[in-house]
Amino acid sequence: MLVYPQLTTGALSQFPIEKRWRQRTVVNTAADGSVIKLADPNGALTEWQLQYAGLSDGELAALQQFFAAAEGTLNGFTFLDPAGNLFAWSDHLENVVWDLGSFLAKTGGVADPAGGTNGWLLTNSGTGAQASRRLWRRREDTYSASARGSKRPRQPP
Amino acid sequence: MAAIEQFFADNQGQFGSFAFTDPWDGTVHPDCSLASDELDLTWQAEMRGTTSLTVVENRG
Repeated sequence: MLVYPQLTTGALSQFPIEKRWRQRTVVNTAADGSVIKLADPNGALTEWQLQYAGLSDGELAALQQFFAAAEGTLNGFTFLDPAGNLFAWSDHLENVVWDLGSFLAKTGGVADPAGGTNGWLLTNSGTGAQASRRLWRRREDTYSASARGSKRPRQPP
Repeated sequence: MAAIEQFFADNQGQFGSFAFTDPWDGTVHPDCSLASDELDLTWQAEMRGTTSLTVVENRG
């Protein structure tokens, strides 16, 4: 499937980014002012308005090629929400999207930098380095991420 | 912004209902809904965005 192009920085768009959510609800207002509502999930729609300035020739060419390949509004494509959380479940290491190293033990409910208790404590009981990672990403895209953590000294046996 | 987006999605626009605490006097209104099926969000920069919502109290 066609994929919306990234800029050379890896960003999908420039600021400002505008996003519009549309839901559809059927509303019947009675004479006494009471209301009966029916949700229509199939009528939901999300749209983004992206604006670009100061593009390089290569970035402009990529957008032109994409527009030609999509044939305007005709063809569908994959689009990563530039305002969305593409790192979902980052505070739920028990979720199946995570692949933890075999010697890593995890403890939830730890104080986080935002003042909550969504942090996790990872304890490496092995002698080598261990990794935890998400299972899925698109190979063609460039991602960036950061993590905040601290190293605790090993307790003497 | 993400929390507002999620709240809007959870409520399916104006379909859902929720309790709303009046920021003016602290009164809790137990049956309220969003007034619109549309939510516009604008990000001017990293960690800086604008949006607006209207909450209405349901009757009946």
